[in-house]
Amino acid sequence: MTAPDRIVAKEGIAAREAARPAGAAAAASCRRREGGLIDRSRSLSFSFDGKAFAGHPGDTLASALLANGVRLLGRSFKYHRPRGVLTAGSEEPNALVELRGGARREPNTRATVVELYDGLEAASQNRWPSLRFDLAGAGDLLSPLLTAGFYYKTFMWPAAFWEKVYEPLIRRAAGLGRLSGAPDPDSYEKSYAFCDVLVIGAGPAGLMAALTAGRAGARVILADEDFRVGGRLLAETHEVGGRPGPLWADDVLAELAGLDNVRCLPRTTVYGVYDGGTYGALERVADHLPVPPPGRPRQRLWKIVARRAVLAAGATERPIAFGDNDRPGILLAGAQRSYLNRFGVLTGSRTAVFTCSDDGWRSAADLVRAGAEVAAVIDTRPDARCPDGLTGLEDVALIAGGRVVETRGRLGLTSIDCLDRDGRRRSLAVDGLAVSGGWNPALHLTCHQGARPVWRDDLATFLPADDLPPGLAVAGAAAGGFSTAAALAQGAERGAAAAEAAGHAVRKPEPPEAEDGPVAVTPFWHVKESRARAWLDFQNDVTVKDVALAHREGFRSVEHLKRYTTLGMATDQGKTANVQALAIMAELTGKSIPETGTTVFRPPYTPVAISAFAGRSRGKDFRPVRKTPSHDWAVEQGAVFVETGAWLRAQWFPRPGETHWRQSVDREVLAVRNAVGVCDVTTLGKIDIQGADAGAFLNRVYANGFAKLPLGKVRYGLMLREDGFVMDDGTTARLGEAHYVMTTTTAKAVPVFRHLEFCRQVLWPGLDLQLISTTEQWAQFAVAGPRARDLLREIVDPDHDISNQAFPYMACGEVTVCGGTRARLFRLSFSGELAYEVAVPARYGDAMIRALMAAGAAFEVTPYGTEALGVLRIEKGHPAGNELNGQTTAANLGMGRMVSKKKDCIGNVLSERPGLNAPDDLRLVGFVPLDRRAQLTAGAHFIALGRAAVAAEDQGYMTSVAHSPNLGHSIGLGLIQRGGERIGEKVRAVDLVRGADVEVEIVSPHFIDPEGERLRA
Amino acid sequence: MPDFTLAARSPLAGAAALAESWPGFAVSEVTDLALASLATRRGRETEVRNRAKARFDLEPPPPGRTASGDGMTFLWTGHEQWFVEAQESALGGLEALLRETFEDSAAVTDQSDAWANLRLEGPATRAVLEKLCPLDLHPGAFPPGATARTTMEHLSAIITLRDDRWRFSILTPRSSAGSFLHHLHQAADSACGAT
Repeated sequence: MTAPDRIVAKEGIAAREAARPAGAAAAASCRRREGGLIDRSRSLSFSFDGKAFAGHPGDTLASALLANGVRLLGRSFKYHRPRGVLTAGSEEPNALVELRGGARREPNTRATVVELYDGLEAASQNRWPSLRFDLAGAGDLLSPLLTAGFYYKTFMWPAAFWEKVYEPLIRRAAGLGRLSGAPDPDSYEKSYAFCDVLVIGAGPAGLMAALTAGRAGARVILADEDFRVGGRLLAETHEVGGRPGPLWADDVLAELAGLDNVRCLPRTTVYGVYDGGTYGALERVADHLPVPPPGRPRQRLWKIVARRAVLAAGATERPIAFGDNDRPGILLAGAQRSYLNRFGVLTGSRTAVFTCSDDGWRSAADLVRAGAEVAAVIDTRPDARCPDGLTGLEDVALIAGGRVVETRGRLGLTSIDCLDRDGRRRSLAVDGLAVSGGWNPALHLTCHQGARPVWRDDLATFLPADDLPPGLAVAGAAAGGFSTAAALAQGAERGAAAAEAAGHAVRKPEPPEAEDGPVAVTPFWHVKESRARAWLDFQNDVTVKDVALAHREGFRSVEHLKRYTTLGMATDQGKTANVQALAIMAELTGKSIPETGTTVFRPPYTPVAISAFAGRSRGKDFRPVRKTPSHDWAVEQGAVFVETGAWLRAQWFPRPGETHWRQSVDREVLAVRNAVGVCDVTTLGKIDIQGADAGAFLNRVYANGFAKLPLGKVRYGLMLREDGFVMDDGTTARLGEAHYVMTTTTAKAVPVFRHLEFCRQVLWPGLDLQLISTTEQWAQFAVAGPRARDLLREIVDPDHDISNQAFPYMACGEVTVCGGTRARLFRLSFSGELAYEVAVPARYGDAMIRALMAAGAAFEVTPYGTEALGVLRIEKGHPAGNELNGQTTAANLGMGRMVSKKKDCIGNVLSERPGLNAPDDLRLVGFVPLDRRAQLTAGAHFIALGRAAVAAEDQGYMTSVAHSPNLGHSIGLGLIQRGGERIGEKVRAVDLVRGADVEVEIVSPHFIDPEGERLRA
Repeated sequence: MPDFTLAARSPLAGAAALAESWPGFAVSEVTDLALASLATRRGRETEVRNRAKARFDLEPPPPGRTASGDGMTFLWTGHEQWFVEAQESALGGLEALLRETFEDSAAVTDQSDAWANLRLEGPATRAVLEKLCPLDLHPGAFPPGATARTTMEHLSAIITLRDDRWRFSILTPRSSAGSFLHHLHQAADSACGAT
């Protein structure tokens, strides 16, 4: 081992530098002839900014570009600075590209994690007209103006300019990639998984944890964001158990693949920790392929429920801030080794190393071993010396106590200036610089349930806190176990503990032998002697000066610092920036780093596309579709459908020659009034109610009396909420001594069922009562009109007497139809006509509508849809959803007297509140326009004649309107103060939204047959 | 009087029952099973068990379990509530038979038409279901004879493991069965390859 000072002494740097030609070689980065984990026997072609290149299987886009000498990959977000690759992983802030073309274009993709495939297309972003010559790069010259908070300060005035002028301008200038704007042609899916032990990360710690737990028989899921297992072993030259690291990882993977109880998920990022041992993970199923195979999704979102989890996510190297430290060619030292050792790529023809720890020296050692030139190791530690165990560095110059202060090279690094221990400035002609500022454990997931990391002075880093999410343990570099031996040992130990906790007997694991170098780091955050801007957050162009500015202006809490400077935002969430920035803020405030603290860590760990969260719930699959039993028949009839909740219902049935929906609806309404119509009413909720106390129960949940409903009869029921407002209405039929069937409105079928279950289980558990939904069991059709009975006589088997005497209004019973099919018949009317509802088991629904239409041909039967249904009930004055709007009481609806005073029921006490019984309260009445040609509009407000149309004059509002083909003009239902006492009075119906102002007369809400003779016919 | 005899249609495939397959996975519609709910009347728990034992030679199963006997299968669906399955030939049938068996000790309601009944089978069935079903279907967690109510793609479902390998059945509401089948297709295409 050579003493470092002797290295410097042996050959003076100045002399060596003077001997070099000015400027760097043409290809600063290149592929080596051998080495790395790429398959040189196969070639993959790809393009970047339209130019064709070739790479190999095993490459990322970043490694392939570097192998081709391409170092300039993009322009920065704010100042359009030329940028290259900083890292070799998911923490990459700079190398963002637009991947793929056409509708598949995907902006802001990190080139460092894009797996190369044949035919890959990528483009640089945030530049115009070209990457090398970017006009907006002029903004960099204006940087003294464009400091943190610039937008807030500058674009304050005039306020109206923000949305129309400033924001569009800023968005165009400061941007990342562009979306395609076209619908995503690929699919995304969700999956659920369960395991005893989830291992997050497949480096040495994760592999050891998975192997230990897997061998013990635990159900194990091993997830890693990379496409190859091994983690840091792939980037280093370490051996494990005497085997090269990557080969050891392959051996472990092969063993795991042979275990039925272990599932390996490569290309899968565990992005969040949620309650109850639930983890979110994103699997990039087909991102490494040009197009997903048929039927396969592009990405898959996993919900993983794990009894125990081992976080072995490794660590992220941190840069050091110095002047112009963002030039292409300046990489993190660990990334530089990754390109060298894993991808066989030299990131510079002549490289210097800038480090504050022993770890950076590995770059020098690996480069020398690879035969590459190392200009110097610049170590910030004044007593720096070559770490034990590294060899071949005898000829490498060391600048102990050194600092890089400045760099040069417009589109890529050409030289650096550094200071030595004594403040002497030296220039080095290098096109590569490997920077190591120490490592930050990737502890993000440990903080997703509120824990804050703790600072460890001896390791100069944050470590996971003790209050980890339940069931989660941390191993390896993520826990501060930075050496390979420590990672293997911790992985084995945590894996064993997790398997044991899940109930498996574990044989004491014996981790293989590996390097166990100490962590020798003296934190060094930024070079104070630099005059040029020193970048902290490369992605958001935040500099050391911006942090100082935030401090001066009072934004000193790290959360304020983040919002003011945008530090730590966007796709990388400051993985390479946050710790340095808060360390600098700590220096400025004179507080310690732990006192300064970190910002909150939130999921996702790395970006997750919204489409992955949406999964299959897209477009027409956004929610399920419910179809009525007569759906197919209605389609055959050319029906126009309407969505009512999840149901598709026929809205009307156009006939040839009808050009306007009103023609169809008017025809259907008149057919019901004059002959007979049929409508599918299956969507109404049906609840089967049984039990000795069923009648008593109904009497409590309905406001009107139900105690004495006779067998074979139906009754209208009004249901109140506990607060006294109307919840829903419907009918209940008594089919047996202890057997009732309730119907609800379509919209309230589920809420009413839930309400009844609540009453049954919570309010009155002592009742003998059984509830079950039968909405889906029965296909139910309304048959309405003066000829309804004639039609039904063709359908109902003749041994059932359905004459008016035998089966009067509000009768019900079980019958058979069409030669023996069991059915239920109810004499109910929503339209005001002689009407029935007939129900058959749903399997017969399609046949039933066809039978009704065939049998009804002789009676001019007409199918009608929901629009005609609405017109009919408005003509009859029946309230529906527009009136039962959650803000109306029984009194409002003119049904105040239905709320029985003789019994207790849900809502009756609070319905007597003074506020709900004011003398001038709203009442439901009808309205007709004085000018019969005028159209009424629902939502219009009532104003007294001659008064201003202002809120203070508001007397109520129109709830439902329709054109009545029977009356030949527009009619409406509405709520107006003291409505019942004002029949004949004239008011204005003012609709400021639609610009309508119509004089209307207050009339009875029963426009048709107010005495109800028709429905009893 | 003309003959309007009503022909039955299955929830998914009209006159013919649905049957489709992928490598390692098949789905078919079961149309020959009648289904009825059975809910114990208040205080009649012992009587219901005795009557079930006497008539069908089975014990109504505890939560999460099924029990079979004498052509009947009971699926636990809630507190003191079961769905009872039997061959369609018993129709006219099952509801009447249960009423006769349990008299006023339990409430019986026909559910035969309310649900689409799907049979899923093949070694890839769990791989298909993990894309839809939020439950752990590993044999250790969901053993043969296990049943559970859950939701899949926003739809209600009752899932049951019918044998000791990979034959599952799913009951899902009739009106939305088409949407359910669509999602099942997509999951099968993804797990087994598009056909």
